Amino acid sequence: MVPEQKRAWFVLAVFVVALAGFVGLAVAVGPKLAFAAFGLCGVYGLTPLLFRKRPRPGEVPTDERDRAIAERATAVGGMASYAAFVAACMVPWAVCALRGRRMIDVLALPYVVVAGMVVLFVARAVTVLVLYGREGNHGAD
Amino acid sequence: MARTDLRNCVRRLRFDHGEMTQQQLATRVGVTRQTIIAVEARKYAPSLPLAFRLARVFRVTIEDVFQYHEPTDDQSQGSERNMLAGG
Repeated sequence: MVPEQKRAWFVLAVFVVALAGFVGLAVAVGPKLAFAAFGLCGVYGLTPLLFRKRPRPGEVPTDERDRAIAERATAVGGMASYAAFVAACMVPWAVCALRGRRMIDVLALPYVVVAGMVVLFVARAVTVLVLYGREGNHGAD
Repeated sequence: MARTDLRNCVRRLRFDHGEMTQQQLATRVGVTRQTIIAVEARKYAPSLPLAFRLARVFRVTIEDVFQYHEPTDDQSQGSERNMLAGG
Protein backbone atom coordinates (compact mmCIF):
# COMPACT_ATOMS: atom_id res chain seq x y z
CA MET A 1 0.00 0.00 0.00
CA VAL A 2 1.46 3.34 -1.04
CA PRO A 3 1.46 6.32 1.39
CA GLU A 4 -1.36 8.00 -0.56
CA GLN A 5 -3.63 5.01 0.07
CA LYS A 6 -2.74 4.97 3.79
CA ARG A 7 -3.57 8.66 4.06
CA ALA A 8 -6.91 8.03 2.28
CA TRP A 9 -7.80 5.28 4.78
CA PHE A 10 -6.82 7.60 7.62
CA VAL A 11 -9.14 10.33 6.28
CA LEU A 12 -12.05 7.89 6.03
CA ALA A 13 -11.37 6.46 9.50
CA VAL A 14 -11.40 9.94 11.05
CA PHE A 15 -14.63 10.73 9.19
CA VAL A 16 -16.31 7.57 10.50
CA VAL A 17 -15.20 8.39 14.08
CA ALA A 18 -16.48 11.98 13.70
CA LEU A 19 -19.78 10.69 12.31
CA ALA A 20 -20.14 8.27 15.23
CA GLY A 21 -19.34 11.15 17.60
CA PHE A 22 -21.98 13.28 15.91
CA VAL A 23 -24.63 10.58 16.32
CA GLY A 24 -23.65 10.03 19.97
CA LEU A 25 -23.67 13.74 20.78
CA ALA A 26 -26.91 14.27 18.87
CA VAL A 27 -28.61 11.81 21.19
CA ALA A 28 -26.96 13.26 24.29
CA VAL A 29 -27.05 17.04 23.76
CA GLY A 30 -29.04 17.56 20.57
CA PRO A 31 -28.12 17.91 16.91
CA LYS A 32 -27.10 21.55 17.01
CA LEU A 33 -24.15 21.11 19.35
CA ALA A 34 -23.40 17.63 18.03
CA PHE A 35 -21.88 19.18 14.89
CA ALA A 36 -18.88 19.97 17.10
CA ALA A 37 -17.84 16.33 16.61
CA PHE A 38 -16.80 17.22 13.07
CA GLY A 39 -14.12 19.43 14.63
CA LEU A 40 -12.17 16.16 14.80
CA CYS A 41 -11.77 16.46 11.05
CA GLY A 42 -9.32 19.28 11.76
CA VAL A 43 -6.63 16.59 11.93
CA TYR A 44 -6.92 16.35 8.15
CA GLY A 45 -4.51 19.26 8.12
CA LEU A 46 -1.85 16.85 9.37
CA THR A 47 -2.31 14.25 6.63
CA PRO A 48 0.63 15.43 4.47
CA LEU A 49 2.88 14.72 7.47
CA LEU A 50 1.54 11.21 8.04
CA PHE A 51 2.84 7.92 6.63
CA ARG A 52 5.90 9.50 5.11
CA LYS A 53 8.66 6.98 4.76
CA ARG A 54 12.27 7.53 3.94
CA PRO A 55 12.96 5.67 0.69
CA ARG A 56 15.70 3.05 0.73
CA PRO A 57 18.53 3.49 -1.77
CA GLY A 58 17.23 2.71 -5.27
CA GLU A 59 13.61 2.66 -4.15
CA VAL A 60 11.13 4.95 -5.87
CA PRO A 61 8.53 6.17 -3.34
CA THR A 62 6.14 7.77 -5.86
CA ASP A 63 6.08 8.17 -9.60
CA GLU A 64 4.09 9.74 -12.45
CA ARG A 65 1.13 7.36 -12.01
CA ASP A 66 0.82 8.23 -8.32
CA ARG A 67 0.90 11.92 -9.20
CA ALA A 68 -1.73 11.40 -11.93
CA ILE A 69 -4.02 9.61 -9.46
CA ALA A 70 -3.49 12.32 -6.84
CA GLU A 71 -4.30 15.06 -9.37
CA ARG A 72 -7.45 13.30 -10.55
CA ALA A 73 -8.58 12.65 -6.98
CA THR A 74 -8.00 16.29 -6.03
CA ALA A 75 -10.06 17.40 -9.04
CA VAL A 76 -12.93 15.08 -8.04
CA GLY A 77 -12.68 16.26 -4.42
CA GLY A 78 -12.75 19.88 -5.56
CA MET A 79 -15.86 19.33 -7.67
CA ALA A 80 -17.67 17.48 -4.89
CA SER A 81 -16.63 20.11 -2.36
CA TYR A 82 -17.84 22.94 -4.58
CA ALA A 83 -21.19 21.25 -5.14
CA ALA A 84 -21.59 20.61 -1.40
CA PHE A 85 -20.47 24.14 -0.53
CA VAL A 86 -22.94 25.77 -2.92
CA ALA A 87 -25.75 23.50 -1.70
CA ALA A 88 -24.86 24.23 1.94
CA CYS A 89 -24.82 27.95 1.18
CA MET A 90 -28.16 28.02 -0.65
CA VAL A 91 -30.38 25.34 0.90
CA PRO A 92 -30.59 26.59 4.52
CA TRP A 93 -31.42 30.11 3.38
CA ALA A 94 -34.01 28.83 0.93
CA VAL A 95 -35.63 26.67 3.61
CA CYS A 96 -35.72 29.59 6.03
CA ALA A 97 -37.24 31.84 3.37
CA LEU A 98 -39.93 29.24 2.60
CA ARG A 99 -40.77 29.09 6.29
CA GLY A 100 -41.07 32.84 6.42
CA ARG A 101 -37.96 33.34 8.57
CA ARG A 102 -35.67 36.17 7.60
CA MET A 103 -32.71 35.23 9.80
CA ILE A 104 -30.50 32.21 10.09
CA ASP A 105 -28.45 30.93 12.99
CA VAL A 106 -24.91 32.28 12.89
CA LEU A 107 -23.65 28.75 13.66
CA ALA A 108 -24.60 27.79 10.10
CA LEU A 109 -21.60 29.67 8.71
CA PRO A 110 -18.79 27.57 10.26
CA TYR A 111 -20.79 24.44 9.49
CA VAL A 112 -20.92 25.38 5.82
CA VAL A 113 -17.16 25.92 5.68
CA VAL A 114 -16.36 22.72 7.59
CA ALA A 115 -18.80 20.71 5.48
CA GLY A 116 -17.09 21.92 2.31
CA MET A 117 -13.66 20.91 3.61
CA VAL A 118 -14.81 17.53 4.91
CA VAL A 119 -16.47 16.72 1.57
CA LEU A 120 -13.25 17.72 -0.21
CA PHE A 121 -11.07 15.39 1.88
CA VAL A 122 -13.53 12.47 1.94
CA ALA A 123 -14.33 12.61 -1.79
CA ARG A 124 -10.61 12.81 -2.58
CA ALA A 125 -9.85 9.85 -0.31
CA VAL A 126 -12.60 7.71 -1.85
CA THR A 127 -11.38 8.57 -5.36
CA VAL A 128 -7.79 7.65 -4.46
CA LEU A 129 -8.90 4.26 -3.13
CA VAL A 130 -11.15 3.60 -6.14
CA LEU A 131 -8.45 4.50 -8.67
CA TYR A 132 -5.77 2.39 -6.97
CA GLY A 133 -8.29 -0.41 -6.43
CA ARG A 134 -9.29 -0.54 -10.09
CA GLU A 135 -5.71 -1.02 -11.19
CA GLY A 136 -5.08 -3.51 -8.42
CA ASN A 137 -2.12 -5.88 -8.45
CA HIS A 138 -3.43 -8.25 -11.10
CA GLY A 139 -0.53 -9.51 -13.16
CA ALA A 140 2.11 -9.25 -10.48
CA ASP A 141 4.87 -11.80 -10.86
CA MET B 1 -9.46 2.75 -15.15
CA ALA B 2 -10.51 1.46 -18.59
CA ARG B 3 -8.01 -0.38 -20.71
CA THR B 4 -6.02 1.88 -23.00
CA ASP B 5 -5.75 1.48 -26.79
CA LEU B 6 -2.00 1.29 -26.29
CA ARG B 7 -0.84 -2.31 -26.44
CA ASN B 8 2.57 -3.32 -25.25
CA CYS B 9 4.83 -6.31 -24.96
CA VAL B 10 6.65 -5.31 -21.80
CA ARG B 11 5.99 -8.68 -20.20
CA ARG B 12 7.45 -10.61 -23.13
CA LEU B 13 10.46 -8.30 -23.33
CA ARG B 14 11.11 -8.81 -19.63
CA PHE B 15 11.23 -12.54 -20.07
CA ASP B 16 13.39 -12.19 -23.20
CA HIS B 17 15.85 -10.22 -21.07
CA GLY B 18 16.78 -12.88 -18.58
CA GLU B 19 13.38 -13.10 -16.90
CA MET B 20 13.76 -9.64 -15.47
CA THR B 21 11.34 -9.09 -12.57
CA GLN B 22 8.85 -6.24 -12.46
CA GLN B 23 10.74 -4.76 -9.52
CA GLN B 24 14.05 -4.84 -11.40
CA LEU B 25 12.48 -3.13 -14.41
CA ALA B 26 10.74 -0.59 -12.17
CA THR B 27 14.03 0.28 -10.46
CA ARG B 28 15.82 0.69 -13.78
CA VAL B 29 13.23 3.07 -15.24
CA GLY B 30 12.56 4.93 -11.97
CA VAL B 31 8.95 4.03 -11.20
CA THR B 32 7.17 1.84 -8.67
CA ARG B 33 6.46 -1.83 -9.31
CA GLN B 34 2.72 -1.08 -9.25
CA THR B 35 3.18 1.17 -12.28
CA ILE B 36 4.88 -1.63 -14.25
CA ILE B 37 1.99 -3.93 -13.30
CA ALA B 38 -0.53 -1.31 -14.47
CA VAL B 39 1.35 -0.75 -17.76
CA GLU B 40 1.51 -4.49 -18.50
CA ALA B 41 -2.20 -4.84 -17.76
CA ARG B 42 -2.91 -1.86 -20.08
CA LYS B 43 -4.53 -0.03 -17.19
CA TYR B 44 -2.12 2.86 -17.43
CA ALA B 45 -0.66 4.58 -20.50
CA PRO B 46 2.83 5.74 -19.54
CA SER B 47 4.18 9.18 -20.32
CA LEU B 48 6.44 9.60 -23.35
CA PRO B 49 9.63 9.88 -21.25
CA LEU B 50 8.77 6.67 -19.38
CA ALA B 51 7.99 4.90 -22.66
CA PHE B 52 11.41 5.92 -23.98
CA ARG B 53 13.12 4.73 -20.79
CA LEU B 54 11.38 1.36 -21.07
CA ALA B 55 12.47 1.01 -24.70
CA ARG B 56 16.05 1.90 -23.81
CA VAL B 57 16.22 -0.70 -21.05
CA PHE B 58 15.26 -3.37 -23.60
CA ARG B 59 17.49 -1.78 -26.29
CA VAL B 60 14.65 -1.63 -28.81
CA THR B 61 12.66 1.15 -30.44
CA ILE B 62 9.59 2.57 -28.77
CA GLU B 63 7.36 0.95 -31.45
CA ASP B 64 8.77 -2.44 -30.51
CA VAL B 65 7.45 -1.94 -26.99
CA PHE B 66 4.21 -0.05 -27.60
CA GLN B 67 1.70 -0.38 -30.43
CA TYR B 68 -1.15 2.05 -30.82
CA HIS B 69 -4.22 0.62 -32.51
CA GLU B 70 -6.60 3.16 -33.94
CA PRO B 71 -10.00 2.29 -32.47
CA THR B 72 -12.74 1.38 -34.94
CA ASP B 73 -16.02 3.35 -34.88
CA ASP B 74 -17.65 0.82 -32.56
CA GLN B 75 -14.64 0.82 -30.22
CA SER B 76 -14.35 4.60 -30.21
CA GLN B 77 -18.03 4.91 -29.29
CA GLY B 78 -17.38 2.45 -26.49
CA SER B 79 -14.38 4.49 -25.36
CA GLU B 80 -16.48 7.64 -25.38
CA ARG B 81 -19.09 5.90 -23.27
CA ASN B 82 -16.32 4.79 -20.89
CA MET B 83 -14.98 8.35 -20.67
CA LEU B 84 -18.44 9.72 -19.99
CA ALA B 85 -18.85 7.06 -17.31
CA GLY B 86 -15.59 8.27 -15.78
CA GLY B 87 -13.58 5.21 -16.81
